[in-house]
Amino acid sequence: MLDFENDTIDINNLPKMESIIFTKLHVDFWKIILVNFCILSTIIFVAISTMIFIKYEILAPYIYHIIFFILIILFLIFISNRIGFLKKKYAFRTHDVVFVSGIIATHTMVIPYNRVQHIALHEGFLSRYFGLASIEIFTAGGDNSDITIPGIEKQQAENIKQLLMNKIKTVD
Amino acid sequence: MPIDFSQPQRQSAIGIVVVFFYALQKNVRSLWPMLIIIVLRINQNNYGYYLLGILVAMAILAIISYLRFINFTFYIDDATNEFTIQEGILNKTKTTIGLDKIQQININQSFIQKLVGVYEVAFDTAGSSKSEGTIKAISHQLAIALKAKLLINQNIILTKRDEKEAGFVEKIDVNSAQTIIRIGILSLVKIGITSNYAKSFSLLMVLAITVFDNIRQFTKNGMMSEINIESAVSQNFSGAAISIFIIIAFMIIIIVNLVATILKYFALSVQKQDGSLLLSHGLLNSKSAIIKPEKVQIVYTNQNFIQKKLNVSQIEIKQAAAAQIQKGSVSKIAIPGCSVDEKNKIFELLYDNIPKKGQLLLPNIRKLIVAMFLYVLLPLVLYFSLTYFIAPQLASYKSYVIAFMVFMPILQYIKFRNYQLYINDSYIIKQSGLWDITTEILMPQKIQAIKSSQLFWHKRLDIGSIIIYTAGGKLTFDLGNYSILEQKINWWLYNIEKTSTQIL
Repeated sequence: MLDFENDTIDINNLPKMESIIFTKLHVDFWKIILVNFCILSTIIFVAISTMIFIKYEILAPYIYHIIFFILIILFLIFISNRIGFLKKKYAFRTHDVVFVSGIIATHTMVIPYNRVQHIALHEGFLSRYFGLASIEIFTAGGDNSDITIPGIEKQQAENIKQLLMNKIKTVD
Repeated sequence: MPIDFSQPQRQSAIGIVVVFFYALQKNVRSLWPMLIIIVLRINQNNYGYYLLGILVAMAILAIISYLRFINFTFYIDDATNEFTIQEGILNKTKTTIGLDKIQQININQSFIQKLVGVYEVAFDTAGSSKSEGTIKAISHQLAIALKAKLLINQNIILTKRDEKEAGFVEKIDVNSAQTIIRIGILSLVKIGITSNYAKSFSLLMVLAITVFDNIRQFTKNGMMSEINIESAVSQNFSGAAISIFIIIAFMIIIIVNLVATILKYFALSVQKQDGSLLLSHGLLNSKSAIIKPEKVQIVYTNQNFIQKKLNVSQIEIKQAAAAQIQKGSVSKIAIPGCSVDEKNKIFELLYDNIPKKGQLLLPNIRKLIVAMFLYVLLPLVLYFSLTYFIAPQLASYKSYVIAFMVFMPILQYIKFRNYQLYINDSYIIKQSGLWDITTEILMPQKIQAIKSSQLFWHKRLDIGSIIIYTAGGKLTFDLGNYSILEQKINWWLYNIEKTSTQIL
């Protein structure tokens, strides 16, 4: 009982979410997004051109409209990709992990370490080429309560995973 | 009589009947097209053969059921604290469940089981969405004893972990269950006639449309000409006919609701046993469930204006159970027809006190503006543009549109007014709804994750939303004061993180 303390807590001095120093995603992750974007554009262009080629008589007068429309869509996808990439950031604090994402809105997701159920490390085909990995952190809170942080250097991701595993173990 | 569960046990002998009936049901269900053909072929000359065939099939089923029964055993291994079910005639299956992994034990009784007088025991673990193991037919005494045994074992494990003193737990009497609440038929009637209007109404609409469609299909093939019924319907489909239809629909809804509620929740009782709550109810199919206060995630209470006057409300409890981990289904336990006293008693059992509402947080006026835009302005614009450009005949529904213009804003305003969040140190309470007012209660230590969101044009206005995730669902609050919400998040996180225990 001697170690027991029960001081009043100053609510204004609690660790603040607003003043966290965040880490941005790795620059190379943008390259992966770009490659994916190029693949998507190519697929769309091939699909559209075959469509135009097959139904040329019907679609001929609208070709410029279609191309314009597709360009706008692709531009919007590109912009949202870029904003999404720039806005994604994360921080591993002493007791929790914070992940910020979103395009129009800013979503801030917090998972305390003592609520983490398990951790998964993903490595895609492109990611492996760039030496990147993504970390997925699961809680018992269901579908949308998980955090996936992409674009972390492989070695760093391994370290983070190890760190989290240790945190979970000490909690148990 | 103490029952030794460490030795492999069989189900009740009479349980063969249940096993047989389930097997029969399963076979008939999968073979019914064939059976119909066979039945149609029966005539004076050959019925003897078919009768013989059926008897032989029955006999085979009976033998299989007997073998299945003989091969079905279950026992508790005290050394490893595991519960094991062995089954199968040729393909043997052995299911082992760690006792500390069992989240919920349900004792149920289907119609056949009720006839024979046996019970079904089902176990839920955190591993998968469906029940891991079921024992189909054991006597009530055995079911209760098994449930108590499994629970006591769990307590021993827990106390061993906590206090390293197992001795005192064994003193707990199996029959120490103490009835806390009995929901009478009157309360069920009250709840039955006052709830689920919207749900039942939509069901009834679907039914009406299907029936109407069928009638049309039928009349197409003769009887009446199609034009006749169409015009008859459209002629009558105005004014008085609509109101009569609505009144009849309403009465059917009330009766259906009433019957369904009484059948499902007949003789509902809540008992307290070793710190858990035992819930049992049902007229044709008896159901029972265990609620462990420490596993409770969110408690919902539902009450509308009439129910408030009648002093009844419905409580729904969401527990951390198997279902949460899988998508979709959630382990919900409902207790309808609680009076204020009974509600408070349940709260005391779950929380040791009655949750108090703390600091009030209201949504920004923009929530109302958005709702007005979506549910009032947008439909009106749609209606007028349709009337103006495409379908001028819609203009005849003007009176409905005027009613809509008057009522919809009022409803939206009531909904906005009811949307409130109360926060104090030990409870987060959200209230929402239009007619049925729902209160969601959760304790901050049940939080699994928190998501806060803010649209970029709301930054300057300092408004934002939060979603609080628990192992039993989530709680959302839209467009509140963002700095206050952030301050609360910091506070909850501090409280969760200062203790190092993992809570589900």
